[in-house]
Amino acid sequence: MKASLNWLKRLVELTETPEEIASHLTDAGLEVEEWHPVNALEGVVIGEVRTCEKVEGTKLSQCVVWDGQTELPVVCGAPNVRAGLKVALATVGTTMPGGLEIKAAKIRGMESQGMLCADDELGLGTSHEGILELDSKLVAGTPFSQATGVADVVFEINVTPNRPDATGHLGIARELALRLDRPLKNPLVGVQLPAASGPATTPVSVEAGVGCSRYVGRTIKGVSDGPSPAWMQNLLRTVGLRPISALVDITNFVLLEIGQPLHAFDLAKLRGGKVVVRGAVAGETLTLLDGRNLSLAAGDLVISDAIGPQCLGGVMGGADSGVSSTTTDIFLETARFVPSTVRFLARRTQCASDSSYRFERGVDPFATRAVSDYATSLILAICGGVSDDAQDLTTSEHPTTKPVVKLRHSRVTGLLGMEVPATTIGSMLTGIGCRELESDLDSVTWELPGWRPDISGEADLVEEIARLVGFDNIPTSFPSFPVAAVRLPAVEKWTRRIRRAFASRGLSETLSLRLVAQADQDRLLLPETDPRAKLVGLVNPLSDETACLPRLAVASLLKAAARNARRQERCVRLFECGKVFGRDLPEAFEAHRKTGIGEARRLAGLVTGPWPDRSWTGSETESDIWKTKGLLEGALNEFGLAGSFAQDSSEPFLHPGRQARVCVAGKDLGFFGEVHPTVQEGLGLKSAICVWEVDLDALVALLESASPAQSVRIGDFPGTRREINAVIGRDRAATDVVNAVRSLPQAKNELVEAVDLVSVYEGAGVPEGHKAVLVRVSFRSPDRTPTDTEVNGLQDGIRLGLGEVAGVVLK
Amino acid sequence: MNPLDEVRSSWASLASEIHAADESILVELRSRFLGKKGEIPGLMRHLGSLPADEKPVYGAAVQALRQEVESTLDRLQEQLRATALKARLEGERLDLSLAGDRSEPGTLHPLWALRDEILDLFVGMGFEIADAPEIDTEWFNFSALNVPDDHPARDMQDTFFVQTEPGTESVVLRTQTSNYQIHAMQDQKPPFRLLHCGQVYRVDADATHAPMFCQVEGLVLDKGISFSHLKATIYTMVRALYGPEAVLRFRPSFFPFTEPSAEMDVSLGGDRWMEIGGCGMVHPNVLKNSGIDPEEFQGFAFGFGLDRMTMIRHGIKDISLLTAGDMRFLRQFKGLA
Repeated sequence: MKASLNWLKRLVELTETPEEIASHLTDAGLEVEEWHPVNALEGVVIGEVRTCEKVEGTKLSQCVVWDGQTELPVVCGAPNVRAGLKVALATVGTTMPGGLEIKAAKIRGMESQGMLCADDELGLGTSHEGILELDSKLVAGTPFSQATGVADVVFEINVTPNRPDATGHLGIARELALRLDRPLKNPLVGVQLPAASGPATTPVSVEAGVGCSRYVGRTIKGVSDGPSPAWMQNLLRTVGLRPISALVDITNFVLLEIGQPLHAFDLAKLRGGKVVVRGAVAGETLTLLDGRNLSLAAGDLVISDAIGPQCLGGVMGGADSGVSSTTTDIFLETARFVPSTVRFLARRTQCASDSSYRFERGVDPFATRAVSDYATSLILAICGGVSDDAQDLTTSEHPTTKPVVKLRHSRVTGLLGMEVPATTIGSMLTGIGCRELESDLDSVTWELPGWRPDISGEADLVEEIARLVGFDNIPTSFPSFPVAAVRLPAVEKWTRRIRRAFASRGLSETLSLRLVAQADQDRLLLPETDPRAKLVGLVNPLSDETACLPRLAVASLLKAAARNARRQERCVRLFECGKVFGRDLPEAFEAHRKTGIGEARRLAGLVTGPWPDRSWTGSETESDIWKTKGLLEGALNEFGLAGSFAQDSSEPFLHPGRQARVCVAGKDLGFFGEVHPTVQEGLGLKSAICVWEVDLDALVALLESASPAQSVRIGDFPGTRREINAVIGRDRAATDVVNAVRSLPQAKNELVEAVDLVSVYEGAGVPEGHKAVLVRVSFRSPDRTPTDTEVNGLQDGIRLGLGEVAGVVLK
Repeated sequence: MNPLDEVRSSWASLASEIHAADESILVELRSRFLGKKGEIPGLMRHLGSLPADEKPVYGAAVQALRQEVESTLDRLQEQLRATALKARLEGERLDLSLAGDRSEPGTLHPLWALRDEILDLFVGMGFEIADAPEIDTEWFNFSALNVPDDHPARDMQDTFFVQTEPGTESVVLRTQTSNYQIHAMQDQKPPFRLLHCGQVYRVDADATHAPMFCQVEGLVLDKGISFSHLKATIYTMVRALYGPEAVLRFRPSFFPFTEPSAEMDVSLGGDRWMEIGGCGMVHPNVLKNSGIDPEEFQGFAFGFGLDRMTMIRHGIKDISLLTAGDMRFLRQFKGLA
């Protein structure tokens, strides 16, 4: 809402600076986002043309203009310049609103020190037919903006939806009057109308239940619609409206002053000379003022004449029945439409207007008649004409009495935590327009003003009091709570540690936008049958790029890798603890039962490009799957978890021979592997990328359930190691051999300390298509040195057992 | 010359020449003079053939010679070792102006780091941290929070709607963390101090607005909780975060789910105010919607956005950088605990 300082000054006496006023308004909850002077027009003064001689053969006149101190030579090209005229003189050094700087110049050899201005040059209008002819009573030398009253200040106020009263200058002025303790000059009070010409002449009927609760109609005949007065035009311009004609300007003026929209119909264009407020019949059409053709739905609130709709109720007038320069008789509508009806209509037809904005928020249902009288008085005074009797119709949707709220003083104290004297509360609430009905020991019953429909309960009145007391004046005090041992929930605690584990391994934590493109997912080559292939979509996305919710966190990391590569940043090492969404995900929240969409936490990572290494050797090491796997294993190890990586080929976006399921404690947590070359190339990436994505919730559950590490007795006796060499097929996992050894009964003997993989070898000495796996068994006891006999016995047993495992040949 | 003198003089002549001897000469000399079949043990073999009265003198002389040879050889050996070590160490000299093997430090995301800090502050104040869904029904996001469908307050937040099966309840990406309030109050009964932090979504995108951003939401409910307690709580948080000079300003505002409602600005001195969030006393309708009697319990709620706080803290000019995954951006945030 734009508010004009001059306008506010019509309604309350204001001597404060704009800055002070802005601060008062912000403190009152009417936040001034910015304010700035308009039409300051510095350097433009009232001038008096002393002499004026036409220059032969040109349109120019050579003038002498008195600026209050000196006589200045000025050359002017306007046809209407003449001696004795009071003019707007832009003196040398002035910068005009259009950016033109006035300089002393010679025009056709004639000296000119200044410019006589037309209204477009001053930014006050569009006419350029001649220079402004000012009131002859103005004193030469006075600043133009001051003398003519165009100088103003505009405040940009962020009006919250609960303050419909502040959508008009009156409501804003009421706040200032209250805060500054000055009387409000309410234009709705004491309106004097000449006697009506007679009973109402335009029949009006209002259908109940269509969304119009009160309708005041009035016929005014014999008006002449010229330009509106300069003062009104100035005010409208300040708040950004273009003056059109007196009738249009008056309706706009009242809307912006009171916050109550009005509509003026050209009576001659209302067929059948009658007005019907009704629900539309399906298929009826209406051409709006902005030229749009609407096809109406059954029940849409319309103002109709005898034949068809002429106005979309509360939203916008029709093109056919609006006032024009030829209008002589008008029908003036002042109505209170039901907020939800107007909101629905404006949204469905996408026709939000200044009018619908105010009806949606709620206009004062008890001021309809007073506003009609006020507007009528302005029309009669400015455009002439005579008005007949007003028709004031209400329907069952209209509130018959003003709402009443009982306010307990103890509640005020309880909610604010401070004692506000009853007399202070009384004067504050009276100030915003409440009326005291009755009171007892602790409570007062208040009748609420019609212009504050947001106030409906006790808490609302407490808010008014808090607002007027000022939140900054409420003391601070601490609530008393029992001592409680509070700590971070498991998921927060472990996520934090996990994040630090990866950050300490050289990865950077990222936060991916959880709005992605289906194309990002399609890039992952998932078959249609994969429930993850089709993302959950948005109805109203900002763009295709952000139209869906992510199902795989690595999709976003891959996109980030590509983005980095486009910026010549090859070394990408990212991880994220994020969320993914999908209809196939298990319910984590009660809400999912209703939405059908699950959300789950994921720990995902991506590593590609140069591996940080010795930097001055002239060569770079590339990261690879082993280095990446080491990162992941190392992080799991840090938490005492041993991840087992089960060779896999099920994820289509990973290399079929270089991927694994990440399993911890027998639980499949997710995938790890090198990105499929097709996907990698599709992203425009040149080097191999390794990624992982695991179920963070499951990981946290494992970590949380783990019991503290237990100390094992260690001894000082020496141990012995034996190595066993086995040959297996190339496609088998080397860890199979290790696991096979570990599962043998001999390996569970108390003397066996560890079974480890020493090496894997392919090449000379090993048959084609096979690999040799060297396993080391360490024997050790805390109590004694194992004897050769014991160790040999166990080793033989292990060899024998391993030799029986299918596909394993001992060397 | 007797054999003793011969050995002595041959040693003397050799000993004077072996300054820059190498290891092999020392080994050779040691073996020649001191070895089992060496010259000095050879002298001892003559001992038996000497008269008894000469034996002690001869024996002592041989022993003295042996000691001289031994100590000289030991000294030379030690010198040689020291020289060799010196030479080796000189050869091993490194140019330590060169960088060490890199262990590129990783970084935490600045927004998450701030989130950690704020969560810790509230845990310290006795708040329990809980989670809430980011995808929710319109009822939880709006209606239960006292924002009816036909109310213009819905326009305060441009909402993303999620595609659903026809005929099912309307599903949205939550526009605020306040849906948490309703879930929390349905799950547990007061008194409580609760805090939630998570992502929220609005149809908005420019240099200072992102369609996804992070909010913190607090809810305190008990008998006799007042706005005064709210102020003390926020003050405690803000001063812990920004230092004891931080000043708060509470401006009247409007949120459908609180009454009275205020916006909070923080100033770190001077006239510059940074808007941090909104707060207020929980609206009686919100309590009723969650099955709590507003006559018995009252409380306050507050919420603020972490993105702007993060941007101001680190001088980030473009909000979209926070979610871009740009290594050059992320690598800058070293030293976040």
